[in-house]
Amino acid sequence: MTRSADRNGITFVMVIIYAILAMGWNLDYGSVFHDEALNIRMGGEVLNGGACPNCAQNTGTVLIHPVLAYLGDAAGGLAGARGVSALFGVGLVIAVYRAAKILFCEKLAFFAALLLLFTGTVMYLAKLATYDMPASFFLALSFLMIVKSITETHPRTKNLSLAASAISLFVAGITKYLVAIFWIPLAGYACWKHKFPRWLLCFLLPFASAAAIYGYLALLPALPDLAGSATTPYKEGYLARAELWGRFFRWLSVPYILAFFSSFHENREWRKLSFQFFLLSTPAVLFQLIMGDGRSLDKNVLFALVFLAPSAAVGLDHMGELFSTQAQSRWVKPFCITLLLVVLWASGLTDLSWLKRHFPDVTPVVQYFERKGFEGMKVAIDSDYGDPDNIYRYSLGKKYPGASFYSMSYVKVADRQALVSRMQPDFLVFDEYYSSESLVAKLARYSEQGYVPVETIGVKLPWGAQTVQILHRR
Amino acid sequence: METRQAASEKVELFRRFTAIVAVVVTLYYLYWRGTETLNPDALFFSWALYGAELFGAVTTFLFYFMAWKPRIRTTPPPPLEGRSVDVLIPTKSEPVHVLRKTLLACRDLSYPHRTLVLDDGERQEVRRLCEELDCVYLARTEHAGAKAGNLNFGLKHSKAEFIAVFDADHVPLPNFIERLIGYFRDEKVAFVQAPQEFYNTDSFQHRQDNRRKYIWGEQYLFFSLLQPGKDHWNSAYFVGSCALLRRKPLDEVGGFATGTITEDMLTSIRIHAKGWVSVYHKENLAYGIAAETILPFHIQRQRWGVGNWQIFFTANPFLLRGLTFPQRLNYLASMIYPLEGFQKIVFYITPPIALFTGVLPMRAMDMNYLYHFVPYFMLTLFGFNEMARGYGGQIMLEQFSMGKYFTYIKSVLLFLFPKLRSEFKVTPKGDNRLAPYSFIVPQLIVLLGSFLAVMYAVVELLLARRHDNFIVAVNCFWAIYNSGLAIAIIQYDYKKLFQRRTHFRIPDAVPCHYSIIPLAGEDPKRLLAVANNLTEDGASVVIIGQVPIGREINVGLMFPTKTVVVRGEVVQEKSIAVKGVPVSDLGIRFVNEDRESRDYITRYLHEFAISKFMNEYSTQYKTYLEKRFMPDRHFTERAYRALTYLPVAVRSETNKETCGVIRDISESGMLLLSRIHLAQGDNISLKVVLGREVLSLKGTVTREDMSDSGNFQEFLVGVKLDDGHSDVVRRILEIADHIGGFVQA
Repeated sequence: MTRSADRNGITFVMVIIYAILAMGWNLDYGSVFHDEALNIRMGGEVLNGGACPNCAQNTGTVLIHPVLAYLGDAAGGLAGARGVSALFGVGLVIAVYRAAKILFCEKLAFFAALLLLFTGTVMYLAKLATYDMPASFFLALSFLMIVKSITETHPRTKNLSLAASAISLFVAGITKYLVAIFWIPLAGYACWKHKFPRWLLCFLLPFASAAAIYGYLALLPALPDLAGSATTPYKEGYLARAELWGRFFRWLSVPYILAFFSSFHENREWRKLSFQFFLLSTPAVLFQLIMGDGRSLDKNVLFALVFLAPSAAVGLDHMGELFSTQAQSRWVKPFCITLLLVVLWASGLTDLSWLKRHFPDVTPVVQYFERKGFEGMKVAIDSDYGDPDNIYRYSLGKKYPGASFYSMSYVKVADRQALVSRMQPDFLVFDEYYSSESLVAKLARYSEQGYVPVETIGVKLPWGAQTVQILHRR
Repeated sequence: METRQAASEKVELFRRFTAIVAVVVTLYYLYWRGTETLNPDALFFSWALYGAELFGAVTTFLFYFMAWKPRIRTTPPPPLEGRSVDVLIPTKSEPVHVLRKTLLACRDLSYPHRTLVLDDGERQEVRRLCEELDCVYLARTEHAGAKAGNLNFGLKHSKAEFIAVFDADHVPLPNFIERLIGYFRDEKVAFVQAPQEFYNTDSFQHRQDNRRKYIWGEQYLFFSLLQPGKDHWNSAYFVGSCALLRRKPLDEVGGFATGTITEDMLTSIRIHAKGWVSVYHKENLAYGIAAETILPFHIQRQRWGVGNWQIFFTANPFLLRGLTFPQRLNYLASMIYPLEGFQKIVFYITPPIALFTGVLPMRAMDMNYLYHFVPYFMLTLFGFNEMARGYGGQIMLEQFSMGKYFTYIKSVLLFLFPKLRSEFKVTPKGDNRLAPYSFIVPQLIVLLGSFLAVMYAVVELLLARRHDNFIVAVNCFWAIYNSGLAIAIIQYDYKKLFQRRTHFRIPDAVPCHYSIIPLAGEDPKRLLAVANNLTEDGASVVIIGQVPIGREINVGLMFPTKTVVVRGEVVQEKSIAVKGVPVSDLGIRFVNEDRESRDYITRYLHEFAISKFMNEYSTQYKTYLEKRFMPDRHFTERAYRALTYLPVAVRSETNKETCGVIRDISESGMLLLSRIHLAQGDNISLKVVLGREVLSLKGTVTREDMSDSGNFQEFLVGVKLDDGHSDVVRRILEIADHIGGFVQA
């Protein structure tokens, strides 16, 4: 092995070790997030032959991630379920690293990997048992395979890479439907880089075949559920353009600034490639901006980062060149790049810590029920968003298998009192973080029905402390 | 097909259009900044940054104005015959060996003239030098008026119609006067200024890129663009050296202006105010020594700064009668630049203040800010780069701004508090290598402040005390950029402090023979070699063989008109073995060199080799618009050529013999430096000596280019090698390839 190859190998191993350590560290932080609980639950129902009433609506009938999350949970609890995402996260980093190495060089591949690893969103989603990270991994794998198909010289490997890319792209889209917005741009990119007959046979045909099989076996039976799911949350998720801009700006401004600098890199070929990736990153942003859709925006920026990372790596290299201002010493540029990376790393950690807290950690509430709950209890959660019942069902289900949890998210506020009269829950849980109604108003409403507050718990969120109140039926 | 001229005109049109757009966008940006972004909670901080941006905009607009339509004059009118010219050389403390070069060159000026040395140092050795070189020695007893007073003293002893002025280190080419005097056919022309070019491209203010054959010089923007630009507005000004002046306007304004330490600009202002015309002739006709380290560089810039402020307040171009409006603007632009020091310090301290305190000089730094800032910033950069026409070098200018910012601030303070100021300081030239570390303290402060601010921000982020990631990132980017600038300038200065070489060696390729001075029992042998770096004190000689350090050798340098034999000591040696052939690059210090030989080498170097060397390098790069609309001329692809430094003996069919140097060689031909003329079509035989091996070749001369400085000539000859020598050529190619890389490394 040559010294250079040796060094390159070490760089790659270092990236993987860091990725495993950073993504695998502290996986059991906080309480479970309701989507995580739902996924694990669905995975269990699929494997155990359960009813899985929300599968189609929530996953688009692809159950790769829920099943893996359930298996992870069975093996190692919440940390195990999240570990599955961490593994996909490591895979994502490796795929982007390999693609950047093929297209640019070892150094830029290293930068691209570090930029991903230093981004709060990436690290957060690698520690969250949701389908975002698997979907981004399949997207990155598809991208890597396209890159490989472009640079491979052997026709068979070229064709196989292209076919693998098509399948991977399709799987990415059905792992999370939003990723389907990358189907046309990436397919177009593959078509542009290959001759049409090859693209037709090795890309479009496998893609269409996979789509046909999926459509027949999974999509068609679940179509009525899916139709409902596409419109209802969209209405809920509508946000003003200015707010959308603000949120995209928050998560993507720095990567886009770095990518912008790549357009001045002295290597013309890299400049061109970087611009192409810059364009490929935009569907994730444009789609939500055009639709005015604020759903999962903080998570969906991940798909833009798959393409932005290599582009930003070129920009970072140029920034290093620029900031070293043609100094003659060889260490000035690495010094400047290291400083830039340190800033990005610290900024990423801040983002990570924010993101980890932006869903409430309801551990104290769970602990309360562990202490004061009882087998067969009925708990209703008065909230306006998500499925918080899943959180308690997941966290307390093992201790109280006969307990039942209801979320009032999908019931109008005016009808909730009637629901409570009908169900007669033992406990009511109010929160401030999801509800639009004040705790005082809620308390007044339910006290008439014989509920008294038994516990008030403060929960820290990035924007300040919020309150959870537990009411018990007299 | 579009001609190059038409393409060039198109580019110029685009450039000016870009400048106009940049001005409009800048005005809008400044309006927006002033009305919507000033932070009411940090008004002083806000106004400081806004003021710095305003100043930047004003200087940029003035730059666009000056560079609007540069007037490039390189072909002068035919010279006036029979006019009287006196050459004035003011001196005070410059080393005699520096002055000697200038006087030797003045003696060789081809136009009839008298040389007057004005010695404010009253040195006997200068008097003796003048006697030896047939110059007039003049020394005042009182030294009022510094350099201007000295020049006026020279004027009193001159009756000539024209006056040429050179600094003591500026060595003119023999045709200096002939090239410039023709402009005086126009009776309104008061003076003709030529560029102040410097040959020591390893100086503090130069950056040399041998790979791209490109030299960046801190003053190229001024001499290559701004002076021609000012010339368009009849505002090109006298810069104190390398100029030819008519006596009459000088007398009208009372001689060279005193009362300021930048007498040249004030003299120009007064002459322009009297309605006279100035000319800028953009051709290098003299070469001087640039400030070698940070010390002379700062002394010079400080002096210019103070001098400009003196003029601004004593002969303000906006108050002086007789100047046109464009002239007033041009002079204003040349005077206010020391304020750049204050502008830069605001830019340098803004990121650390924002990072340490969290206080911003604007209300918000968000998407809206980017919408406004990015177009303004990009257009300003693009506009500047295009209008600078390839002489900009934005990054290098920024680096030097970092190097000078405190000097400029100091110059303003020295002007305001004259008691702190000492008398006129001559820029140290020639023997000044040690600069005190105090000069890099301002840059160290910027570096440390920026670095600590970045680290502080990182810690703040890690401790989750700050969540304004974007603001932190942007300020960190600027802080790191400023750190990079500071490191670059500190590191460069540090390198210059420990540079062992004391005099710039001029790259050249002179064929020579050498023989080792034999020890007892040794057989003296004379072998061919190539001297590739030369000064009057030594040379670097590439030989086939080896000579240990400390041995003495005789070197016969085969210059165009004669061979100069000097004895030298080997003080440095590096060698490699190429395919069994030992090749050495010897550093030789000349010993016991006689005056005649030394003077001959001086004349060869300054009258011929320096121009040749400088012409090999470009001082201009292609801008985006030039690349886009003026593609390079197409060259037919050539076979691979190895750069080399191999000596060769040449014999032509007319039995002319010479020694030359192979500059490069391919399998089918070579480029040869020859001392004699070889006509196109001549058949020649060549002998390349590689140690014990002698390789013979034959070929035909296909072309010949002559370099001619009047006193020296050299021929660059293209040779097509005859078939049947492929083995020999391949052998030379193998070795040549390595030698070229070895010597250039």
